[in-house]
Amino acid sequence: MDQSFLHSALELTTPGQRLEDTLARDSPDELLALLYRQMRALAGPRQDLDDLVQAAAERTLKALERFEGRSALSTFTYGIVYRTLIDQQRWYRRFQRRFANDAREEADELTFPRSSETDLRELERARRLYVALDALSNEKRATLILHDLEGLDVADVAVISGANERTVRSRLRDAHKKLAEILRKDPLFDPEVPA
Amino acid sequence: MNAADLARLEVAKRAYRATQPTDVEVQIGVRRARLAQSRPKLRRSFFSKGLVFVVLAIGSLAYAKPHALGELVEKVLPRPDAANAKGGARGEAALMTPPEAERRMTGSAQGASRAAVRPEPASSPVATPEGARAATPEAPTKPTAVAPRPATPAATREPAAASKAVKGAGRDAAHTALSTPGVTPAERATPPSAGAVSDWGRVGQALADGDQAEALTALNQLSESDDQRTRDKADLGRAQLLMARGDRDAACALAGSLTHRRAGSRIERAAQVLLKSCGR
Repeated sequence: MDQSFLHSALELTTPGQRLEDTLARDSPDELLALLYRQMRALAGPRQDLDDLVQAAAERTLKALERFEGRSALSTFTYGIVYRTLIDQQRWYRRFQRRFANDAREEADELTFPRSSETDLRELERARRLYVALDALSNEKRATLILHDLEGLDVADVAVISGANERTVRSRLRDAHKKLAEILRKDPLFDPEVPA
Repeated sequence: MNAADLARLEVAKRAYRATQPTDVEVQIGVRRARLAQSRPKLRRSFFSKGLVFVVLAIGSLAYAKPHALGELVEKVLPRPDAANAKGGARGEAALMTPPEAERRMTGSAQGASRAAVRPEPASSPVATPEGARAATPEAPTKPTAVAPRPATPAATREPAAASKAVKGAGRDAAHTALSTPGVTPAERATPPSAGAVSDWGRVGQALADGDQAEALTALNQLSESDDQRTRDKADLGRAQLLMARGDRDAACALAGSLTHRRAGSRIERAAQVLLKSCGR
């Protein structure tokens, strides 16, 4: 994920000013963009993505006072995004159990330039990947996305998810195992198939 | 995970990166989030609920007790007759300069037999300088209604009795004139003239004099007023006066008519009290 805008946001901080004040006043759009990308990465393309981003933004603006700079700002916001998503999924599961019988709504149409047959194939692969990720539990899914797809190391994932590093490794191992089983059955993920 | 699984994972990573949101998509999402955050949801919902509550409360009050609503409005807004009786005189006196007040007081002491000039009912509570000039004896007046009044001994009586008899405009004018720095103590002792007395003041003055016929005449004039509340009050006064004079039938008829015309809770209550003494 490109986080160059984050560095520029951090550079906005002057010695006399606090980081959260600077971010909230001078670069709220960059903070929202960071939250949007992080929520999009963790939750995937879904209809209530905007609601999730708004909920995460409200939490972040409230929690910025407590940011002490012991970790990177993106790790701090990732933690908020992760907890917001987990809370929403738990609520949604309870809501569905009581009030709704339908299955989860279909994922949104993934949008990216469809210039060739290769792009269409990538789009179809991405759809199937998100379906496979939905088969994992929320914690394992988030751990796999953060570590394998977003490229964060285990320590950062542990900070974000508020878990022990060993727990993270355990979740990662289980997620790899489950995902490999699903992808093994899908011919579209066969490495022999040309990209 | 074996090598084949790792290769599949690499393919999945490539597909994942290919579907990452573009900058344009992120900007659109950020704009939507900002718009939703700046929307004052709570305040709007409370405002609409409060508005519905107020409308329902006023509507139900107007439906259940229309008189109560009317009385509430009358309490809030100044009444035209009260404005004529009190506010007009007060405003008149407030606009008077000290020499004018002195002249007026002197004139009222001298001309006790002058006719009472009644101000226009539509005049505003704060009298204009023209109105003040019209009330002064020296200025040429254009009275809309002149009620000729014989000379009463009230002007020459002792001040305490006169001030007690004259309620309303005369009292306010006298109070203001007494506090005027240009008035001498001898002039202060002079009672206000009958010229500044309103219709209700005439009733009060006639009652204080014991002249019930004059009071009844003044009440009869008031009962022909354009204002319905003034008419109702005058009729109530007439009924009470007639009852006091022993004319029971006329008093009971008037009180009975008051209870049927929705005159307001206080007037109706007084009329009911009067009707109790009528008997069956």
